[in-house]
Amino acid sequence: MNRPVNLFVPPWAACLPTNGCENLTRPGDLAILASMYQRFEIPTAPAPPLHPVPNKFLPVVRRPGLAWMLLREAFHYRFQRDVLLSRPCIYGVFSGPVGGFLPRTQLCVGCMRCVQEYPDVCQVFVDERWKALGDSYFTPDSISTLNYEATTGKIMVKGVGYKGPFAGEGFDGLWTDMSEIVRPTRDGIYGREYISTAVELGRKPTHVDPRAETVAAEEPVLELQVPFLFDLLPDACRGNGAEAAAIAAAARVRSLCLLPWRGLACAPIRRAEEAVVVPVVAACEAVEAARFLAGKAFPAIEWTDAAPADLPRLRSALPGSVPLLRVPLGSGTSAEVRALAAAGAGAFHVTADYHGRTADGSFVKDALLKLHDSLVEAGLREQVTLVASGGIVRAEHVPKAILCGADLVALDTAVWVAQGAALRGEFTRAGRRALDFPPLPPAWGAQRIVNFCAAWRDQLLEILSAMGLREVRRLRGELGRAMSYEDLEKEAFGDLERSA
Amino acid sequence: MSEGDVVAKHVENLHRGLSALGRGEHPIPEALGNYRWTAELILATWQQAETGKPPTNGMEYKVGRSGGGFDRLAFKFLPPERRLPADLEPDLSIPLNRRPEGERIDIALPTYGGGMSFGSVSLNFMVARCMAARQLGTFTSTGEGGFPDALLPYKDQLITQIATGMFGVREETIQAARIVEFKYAQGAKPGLGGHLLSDKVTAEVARMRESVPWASLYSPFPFHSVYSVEDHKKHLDWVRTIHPKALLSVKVSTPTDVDMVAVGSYYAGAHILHLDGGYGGTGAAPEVAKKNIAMPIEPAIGKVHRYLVSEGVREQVTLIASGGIRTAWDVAKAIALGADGCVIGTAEMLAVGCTHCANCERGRGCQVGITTTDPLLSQFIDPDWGARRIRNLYESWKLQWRDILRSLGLRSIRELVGRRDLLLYRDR
Ligand code: SF4
Ligand code: SF4
Repeated sequence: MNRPVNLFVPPWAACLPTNGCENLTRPGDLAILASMYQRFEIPTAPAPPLHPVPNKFLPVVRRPGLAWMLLREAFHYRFQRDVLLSRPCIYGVFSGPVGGFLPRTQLCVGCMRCVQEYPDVCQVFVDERWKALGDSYFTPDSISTLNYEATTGKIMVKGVGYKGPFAGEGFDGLWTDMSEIVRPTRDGIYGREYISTAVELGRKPTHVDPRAETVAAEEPVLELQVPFLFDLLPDACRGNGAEAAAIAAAARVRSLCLLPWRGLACAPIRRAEEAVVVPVVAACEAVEAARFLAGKAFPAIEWTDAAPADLPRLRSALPGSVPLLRVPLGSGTSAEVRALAAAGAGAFHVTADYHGRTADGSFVKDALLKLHDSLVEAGLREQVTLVASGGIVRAEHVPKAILCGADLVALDTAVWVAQGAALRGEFTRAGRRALDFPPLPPAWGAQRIVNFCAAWRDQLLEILSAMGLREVRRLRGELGRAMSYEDLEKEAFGDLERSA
Repeated sequence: MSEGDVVAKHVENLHRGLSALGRGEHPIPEALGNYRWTAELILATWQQAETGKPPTNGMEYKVGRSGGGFDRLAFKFLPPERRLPADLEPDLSIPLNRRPEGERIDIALPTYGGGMSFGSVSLNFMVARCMAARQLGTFTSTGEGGFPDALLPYKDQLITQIATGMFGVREETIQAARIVEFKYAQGAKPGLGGHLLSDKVTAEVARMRESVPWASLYSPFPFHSVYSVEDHKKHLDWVRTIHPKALLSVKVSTPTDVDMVAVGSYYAGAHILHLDGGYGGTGAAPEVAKKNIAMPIEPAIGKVHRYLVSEGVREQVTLIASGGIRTAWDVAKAIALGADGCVIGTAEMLAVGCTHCANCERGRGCQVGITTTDPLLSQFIDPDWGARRIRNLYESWKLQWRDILRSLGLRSIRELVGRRDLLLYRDR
């Protein structure tokens, strides 16, 4: 049965402020409400961490050296109080009641002036507690950046160039393009032009019926205002407030949140937020869950043990919805997704581990490229939506995953770390004790997520504007507007003699 | 309290500390440095700025540990018996105008100073750079936003910038400089325009930029009057009308089609093509832009050089590289990849005590008086002292360049341009 669904009535339209249009209450009126022009913005508010995140820098003062230095200076500067009390630190580390004898280490920004002025008295170390943050993929540096974004909602701006390695694995081996002249502009960020970060979820129609009164898809198509949604929380970490926070944040950033269908019935979800919840169900349970999933436009189905032949049964069990098939990335994914897409599947969520590694050991970036190319080759790419997850822990990973072929990404560890979760050891899979996730007030957690999402969206805008793109949809698979380390290295140095 | 006494105390301490740390008299602070500017590179730069000679403290002063680009390149030196004699002094000068017409300007060393604007750095540091440029026989760029009268005595050393915000662009500032640079983009934030945070927009800075004090200034991107190479040519013609003798430099970033951009700029009439790679820069920039947008300078140099050669115009344009060029060795490698010379910014800041801490935009600005407009902190850099240290750094670099050239059997740095055959690429 063809059931026309308006293309642009989002589920969160119910949560929109009515702006004096309170009498628009019938379902059809939501379309009018949603189509009223509104520049999309994510409102932020300060949300400091509940427990202090370790500071990178640890200034250490040798107390006997300090006492001797003070004595020496007292004579040298003839006891001029103001000269004596003028300290090297302009960040207040030595401005406590007893100065350098009890430094306020949390304020240190590692400027090194104290070491420059008093190298025999001061030293600045990198705090071991900071080094212990995260793991080899989600590095302490990435965690500090995320904490800043979650606290302030702002992009980190600093001086003097880049400080990191030349290139790295995965997303770190990719640069995005920029254009010197032809473009929409940076003004997009500052309000004069609009750069869209909206993407669609669903199977898109391949044609428009000119006789139809409205542009309608045969199946639901949903527009999200940001190209990311929030992935499933590991089982062991439920019930600490993080789920409720993610749901509330999804509603505020106009996105979606994946949750296991079992337990949803008794979860305290506010009515206005119900629409942003995507229930996740195993393929073998889908028929059993069908009654519960009725009316859900995009139920997510774990497709681990299912085959393309199971698809028709699933679709008939869930009429009018587009199942989001969750397929782990591995060597056979391209063929499997292609077969499913050819059989009518409209949306896929391809997953890698939390370090971005797929089952065959490749990185999500390369696996995505292969999958995207394979769908393009089969003439199916325009019809389906690809959500990708695994290894998305920094703002730049979002556009890079999209460049490699995803339509949007699902965020995992970043969402949890923003809410104060600590990784224990190498966090690649959701093991029982892999994540230390203390209870949190949902409102605070939601604000932290909203804040970093706002900062990530702003960084996406920076990248899009530098490339001269007006909408993130144009970025998908645009590898011509990216540079990979392997290619650049070959082109730039491939002809040089090698040495050990 | 006498503010002078307070300043004197810190200046004395800083000078003593820089000297002692540079000599390696204290343990290397763990928190100093990073992959690109390692602690050893920083300390070695301080020592060179003090002595004017390559470091003797055993620290690594040629490469960082970024694991790519310049840090994986090395030279194929001749065996000792085939090297040029130690008393031969290879020529280090490079031409800035290689076109048949216009003023001939050669600089005595293959580098000049990169753009740092009034407001983003202290006036004392600007003056120090100008003094050093004069003593060395080279140039320094004022960056965008015009320049204060205090720099007029050094106008023969000045490159002034016309950037997308057009801040401080006036006929007098253009006419005063011998080189005018159009800044289309910059490596630290390719495609994003300039960014001067509100704390640095003092009344004086605002007056020069004809803006409002204490309000952040974002330069738009790109030039709203340039949407083609033809528009770009109109820009250059406009400056030629105001100042017919000026050499014209075009500063661009490093997109995938940087070679096309370069050729377009050549045909529009540029004398100098200035490529600014993604990893450098001295100004405030979103961290996401520094690392991810546009390619690093190393691959861009070869790409542009080869394309200009294939178009038959390489001999008529000066190709200058910048963006993450830290040492004398980086400069020599950039030249071997195809540049005529380099623009240096961060290393000059290091010379006067910068720790590469990246706090330039925080609070009162730079704690050692470089990237700040704070009245007290700005006094930490005495222009004479700063100029001496910057000059010393380059004197040390000159010794290293000459040594490299002799070891390659070359009598002039111009002979090194594009000699990829003299480079080795190190396995990781
Ligand atoms: S490193 Fe800088 S911020 Fe930290 S204590 Fe020393 S002077 Fe203060
Ligand atoms: S704040 Fe730090 S990085 Fe910036 S100029 Fe000063 S010392 Fe250098």
